[in-house]
Amino acid sequence: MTKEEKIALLEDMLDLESGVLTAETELSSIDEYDSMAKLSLIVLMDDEFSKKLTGEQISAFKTVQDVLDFMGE
Amino acid sequence: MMQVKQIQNKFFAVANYLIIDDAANYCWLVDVGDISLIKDAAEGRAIKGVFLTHSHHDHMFGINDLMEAYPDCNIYLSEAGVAVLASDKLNFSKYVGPVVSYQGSNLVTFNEIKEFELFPDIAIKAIPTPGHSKDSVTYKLDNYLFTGDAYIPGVPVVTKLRGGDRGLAKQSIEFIHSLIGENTALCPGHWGKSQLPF
Repeated sequence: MTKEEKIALLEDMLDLESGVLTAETELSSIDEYDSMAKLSLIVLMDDEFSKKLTGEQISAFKTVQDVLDFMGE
Repeated sequence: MMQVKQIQNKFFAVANYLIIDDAANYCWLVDVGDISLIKDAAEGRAIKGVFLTHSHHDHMFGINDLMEAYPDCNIYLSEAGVAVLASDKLNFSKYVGPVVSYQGSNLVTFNEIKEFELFPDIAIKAIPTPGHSKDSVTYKLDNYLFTGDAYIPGVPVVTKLRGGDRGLAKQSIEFIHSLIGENTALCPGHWGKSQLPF
């Protein structure tokens, strides 16, 4: 999956318009990134990337890039 | 005389409701959480059935304890909820725990408005109100309205979880509002602010 496709996944998950997010976007600046969105992120990591994401790891994410790094190659 | 008791679970501040008739030695539940709280509230009455507002784990996490304690209990839910009930992935318990799922029998499903008798001459109406989830249901019993997470006063409906649909949620809320009158006793799915651990 390309970086752009991964960002598009996140935009879709957060119900954001295409192009709103960049790798540098700070998660704290996104109103939609609430606890329900974080639960959706955990589900997404499992469904799309077969990765287990914990609450502790989520708390450490500061930017979209951090999330992309977790998604991996 | 019929009465409804709210049961306040600590877990996710979720509310269950016990429906009792003074003349009956059995009662009914709306959503199922901590079985010890439920048994306390039932005061020795058997639980004949549980009506699920939807199958997200916070609203059904006590289901296996319930069926162990009351093996003849029926589980009433939207047809769309059967798969959710049976999957710890779909009901989200895999991600937030405790892990719970139910694949047993005793299911009574519906996919349109349906009435079920609770006590002689007293019936509850199951009304599908999707949006928060595909299987969300609102139950109407006399002047009581059990809305689950389809409508919680003052709280925007969560539609961003898997199965959520903002358009359907809006339609469902409008319909629920049309059911609310002066004397309606609103019984939402949470009694307080539900906190996720992140």
